[in-house]
Amino acid sequence: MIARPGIFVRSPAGLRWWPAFLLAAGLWATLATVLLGQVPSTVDLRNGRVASTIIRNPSPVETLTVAVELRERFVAGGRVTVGRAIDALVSPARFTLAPGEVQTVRLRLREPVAPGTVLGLVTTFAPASVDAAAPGSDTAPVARLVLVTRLITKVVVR
Amino acid sequence: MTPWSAGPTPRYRPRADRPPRVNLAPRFRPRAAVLVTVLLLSAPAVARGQADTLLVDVILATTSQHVVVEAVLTTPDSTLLLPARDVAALLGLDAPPTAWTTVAELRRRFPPIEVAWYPRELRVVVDDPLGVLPATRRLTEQRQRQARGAPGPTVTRSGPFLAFAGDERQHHVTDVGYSWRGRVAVQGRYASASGSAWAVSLAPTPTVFLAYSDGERRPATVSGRLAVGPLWLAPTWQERGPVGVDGLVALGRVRLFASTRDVFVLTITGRGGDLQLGRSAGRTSARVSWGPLPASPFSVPFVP
Repeated sequence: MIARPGIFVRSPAGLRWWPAFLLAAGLWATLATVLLGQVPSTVDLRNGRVASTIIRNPSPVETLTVAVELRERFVAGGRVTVGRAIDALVSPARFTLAPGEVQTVRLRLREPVAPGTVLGLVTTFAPASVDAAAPGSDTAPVARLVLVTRLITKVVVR
Repeated sequence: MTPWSAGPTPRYRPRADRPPRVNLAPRFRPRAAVLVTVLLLSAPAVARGQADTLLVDVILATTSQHVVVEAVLTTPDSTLLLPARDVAALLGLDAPPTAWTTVAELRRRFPPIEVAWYPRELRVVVDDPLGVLPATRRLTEQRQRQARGAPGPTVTRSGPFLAFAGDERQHHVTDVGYSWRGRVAVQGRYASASGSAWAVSLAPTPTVFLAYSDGERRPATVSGRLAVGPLWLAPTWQERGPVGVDGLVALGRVRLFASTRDVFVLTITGRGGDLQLGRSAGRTSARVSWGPLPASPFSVPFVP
């Protein structure tokens, strides 16, 4: 029955790391799924043409409202900032995603942008439940913390 | 927030339980008046900005052609307004008198077609299994011209082939050969009545086909077929014989077939019906047909 007891005797320290390693890997995979799986990192766009991308709600339980904008994108000192909104048709610009749902979003520039320019696709995720009144707010002040996620991905103008 | 976005994506549902209707003659219907009223009422809402502009991909599934249009989703009734001119151009229809059309309007005008709106994918898929739309009919006729007088475009496999046939007179014929992707074929034939023969054919593109055949008791023959756009041409040359040519040209709703064998066929296709006039072997015949099955523009109306 105990064919190879030496394994447990020889490396007890290694065994202690396994639960922590598995927990870290699981957290990393969950975080990557939540943050990186929502919006493709780069979208190619040509002047006058239509570009398509998809936006996904990776949450298994929460319905999210999504707002999409196309803005100027700057990178300085390793930090990404956005500027004015670009005149473009974002279709649709606001929508709701149930858990696991995917929405196609199409973009078309309405102003000329020099080829090679990298714009920022600003996608903001907010819980849909934030629009509803907080439980108990009709009788007493209620403070709520709402986690809003904003992803800025690249739109490369070709 | 768009009210349609919270619901599940509607699934494509074939309407096999609904018998196809092919009466496409325009006539007044009360639902048309309701639709026009909806379109008129939605116009101020569009002007006031109470609607979402969406980039919708309208796809004609039978031809694989598509166009991305700026559509309008009205609120709160979530009616999708499509630019009628762009949709008409995709479907091969005449220029419409109105600026907008809807999925319901397309279904009403052409009952046999199936139109599905997928808001999550921003796609409108038009399926035309009976070929009532002009764009579908044009593609179908183009494929028929490319397949006539040559191996069809569906022959894409490579390999040897063998066939044996016989009848009650104890006549038999054997075919053997090899086909490479339907583009090049070498074939030999032995018939108990006419002896052996062989042929080689070449179809480098779907538009061009060439063949040469020879045999024991038959003259050498060179035949070809050219199908480019609305033109279809099939010349034939035989040793010790005259050159024969069959040709067809399609211009709009009119198809004219003529042959050096003194065969002429004029076919006029209408919305749901066809008219044919033909002459062959000194006899003139005519045919009027109605329904989803189009008349072949290559065949003289047959009256036994």
